Amino acid sequence: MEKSEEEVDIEQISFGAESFAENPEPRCPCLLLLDTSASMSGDPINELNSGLTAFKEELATDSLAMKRVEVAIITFGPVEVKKTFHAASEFTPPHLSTTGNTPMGQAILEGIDLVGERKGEYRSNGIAFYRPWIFMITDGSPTDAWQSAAAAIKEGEKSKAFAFFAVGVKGADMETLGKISVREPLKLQGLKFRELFLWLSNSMKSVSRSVPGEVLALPPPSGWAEL
Amino acid sequence: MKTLLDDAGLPVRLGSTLGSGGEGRVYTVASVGGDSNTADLAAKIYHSPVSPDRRKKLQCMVSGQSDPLQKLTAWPISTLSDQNGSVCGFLMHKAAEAFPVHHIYSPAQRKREHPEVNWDFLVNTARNTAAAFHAIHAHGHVIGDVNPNLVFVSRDSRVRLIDCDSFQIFGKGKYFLCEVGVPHFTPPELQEKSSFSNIIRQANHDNFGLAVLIFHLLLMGRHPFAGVYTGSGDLVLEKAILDFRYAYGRNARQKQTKPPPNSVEPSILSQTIRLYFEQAFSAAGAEPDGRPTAQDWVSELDAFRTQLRACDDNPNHHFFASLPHCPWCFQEQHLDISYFIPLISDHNGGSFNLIRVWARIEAVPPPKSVNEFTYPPFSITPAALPPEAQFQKIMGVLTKVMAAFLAFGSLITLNPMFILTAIAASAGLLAHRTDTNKERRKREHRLNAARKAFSTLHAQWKREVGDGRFEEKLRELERIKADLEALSRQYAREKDLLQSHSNHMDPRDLDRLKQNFAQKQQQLQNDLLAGPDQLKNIIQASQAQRRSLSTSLEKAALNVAQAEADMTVL
Ligand SMILES: Nc1ncnc2c1ncn2[C@@H]1O[C@H](COP(=O)(O)OP(=O)(O)OP(=O)(O)O)[C@@H](O)[C@H]1O
Ligand SMILES: [Mg+2]
Repeated sequence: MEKSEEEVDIEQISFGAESFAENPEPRCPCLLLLDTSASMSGDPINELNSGLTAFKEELATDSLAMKRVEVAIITFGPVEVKKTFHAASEFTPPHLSTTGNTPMGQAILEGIDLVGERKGEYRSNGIAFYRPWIFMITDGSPTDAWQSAAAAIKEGEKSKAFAFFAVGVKGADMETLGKISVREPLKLQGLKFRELFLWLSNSMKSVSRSVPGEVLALPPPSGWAEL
Repeated sequence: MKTLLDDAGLPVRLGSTLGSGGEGRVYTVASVGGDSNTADLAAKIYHSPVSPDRRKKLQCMVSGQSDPLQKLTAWPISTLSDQNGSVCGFLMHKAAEAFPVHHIYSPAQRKREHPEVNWDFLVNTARNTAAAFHAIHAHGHVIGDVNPNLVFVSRDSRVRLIDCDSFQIFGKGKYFLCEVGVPHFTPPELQEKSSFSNIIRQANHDNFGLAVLIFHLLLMGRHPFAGVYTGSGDLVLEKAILDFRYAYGRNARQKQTKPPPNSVEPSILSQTIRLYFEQAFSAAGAEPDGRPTAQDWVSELDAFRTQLRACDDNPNHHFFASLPHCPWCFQEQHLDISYFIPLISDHNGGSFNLIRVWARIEAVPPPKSVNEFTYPPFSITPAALPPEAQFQKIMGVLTKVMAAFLAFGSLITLNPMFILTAIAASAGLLAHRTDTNKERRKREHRLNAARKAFSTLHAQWKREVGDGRFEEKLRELERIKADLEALSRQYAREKDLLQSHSNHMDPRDLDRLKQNFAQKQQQLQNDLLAGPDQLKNIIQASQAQRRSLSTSLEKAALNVAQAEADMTVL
């Protein structure tokens, strides 16, 4: 009896390990990189906030996605980790407000690190996972050096470490976005954040239960993107 | 809703939506031929026009229906046609009051939504799932797309397989294929196929998916191939399946994989079940008919069901009777994971569900964190000096000049007149000093008082208007929760102690102990039940407080600004 008491003290159970035991479903991580620079003030940030709420509500309609999709949020600038990865069932949309400039490069690099760390936790806890998505939304152009971020994205896409998507809101520097993202950046129609997040949620649902074959049939982004 | 006709030509009216998938939408049925006694029926209507091949498949399924299929699956009872006579869907049995099997094999969701489900229920569900698979196979069909949403479980652990129109159907001398599949449930021999569109699936393929489902049900939602990979790089689940890297298997070490930390291992199961898993997940299993069949599983799980027993300490812990200890108590005591939570009656006669109560506490939104107190810029005119002080100020200057002059004069002349006048003038200077000093002291005093008043109010603001009180309460509730969780363990320990200390234990001692703990438990439960309201009250109080405090604070800030300005004129 005493011996086992000792074991308990030595064996440190991290919160992560415990929650993985209670929900060992394969994870589908989705990192949102959100531009909250001053230019997003007013309607854009309000629409972004309500889009996040719609995102959660839509995920909640799918009990399997709720256990599998994990959401994290990094805002910039300044770069701030608003939400670390948690199962969608534990995700409460934050209320974002605007600040500062657009250090997009730094945000991307930190985002890639965050995804890498989470994958490490999955690995050591025996949790299967789908390719993470990094989803960036911006209305400006980077105010910092973005070249190393672009290189990191290229590398990550090549090794299938993650998939990176960029969405430009009115005023975004689409040309630079095109240089940063390997995938063609998409331009948001007006302020259709809600439609964008509904699409993202439905895409995450399909990712979290994909069928064999390389190409994943995602719903077309025609409801929110200028094509 | 447009009219639909069933195979007998009877009009079918649809009710509300039950669910929707990639291919169709599923509805309740309001009536068939005017008869509304249709609560046990459902109808699937496809999103897009039905192809001739699918129509033939549905017709073949309808004509091949049987009692066991109708009981264990949502098999098509009749096709449904639109007013043009084209088939657009089918009628089937509704999975009534049922939920997808992943709702109960996933511990967190099971505890939250089905806390009454214990391990014996999960064993039963596994057995019933195997029985449903067996019925399909016995008819020459194959499920093909085994996945967590396939099996619907009702409250008595009976199951019904849904999405039957995607199964591989054998009829009229041909196969209607199943063209889909979920990789995590796909056997190794099919893992590398780029598509299922021309593959005839075998029951042995289903038996892989079945073993994976049973593994999830018996072993707390874990996937048999989701282990910790000790090789380098990432190992995706599909690849682990392909390589036969069964994480709990005999050869796991050779395969560079091991069970996840804190997982419940197959050692809590019977020898035969463990062997079945080994077989189903091994290379030998991938050979034709290599895996345990659905029927094998039914007989073994039937035998296993009768060998379970309830734990002495926690009656809701069920486990294989041949084990020396309760594995769920072990998990609780050593790893701090409670897989099965006790349902204890509370004073209301209902049952207290910690997970649910805690969820209610967590659902109370914390108050918005309050930024620093800000106030508008004040425009302030310093208060004029009182008339004496003002007069004294002018007089003071004059006297100063005079005194200097007189002092100088008296120095060089040493005339007593001069000296006397000089003394008088100096006295005047002093008099002036005392007057302005008085005013300054008064104003300084006022400034200090204003600052003190402000900082007192500000501290109160920070304490009461921010999320301080809320956080404090939340911490307290967390402590109560931890105490409550520790209680049953503490009880077990003290009971052990009591029993080990006395050879002839007085049963009354045990009763007293029990009563004592029951009281403690009641108290803690009540405290938690009151939690959500207490948190809401704190938020309300802080909002009211915020309104009244911000008015007072603004006044206090104005006072400070005024007092500071008043100092500048001196
Ligand atoms: N017989 C039934 N009883 C109750 N609910 C059902 C029944 N059949 C289907 N549903 C509900 O409808 C949803 C969709 O059904 P189903 O999976 O058959 O559609 P689908 O379009 O073929 O989907 P998928 O593309 O996933 O195969 C199910 O997840 C379930 O919630
Ligand atoms: Mg289907």
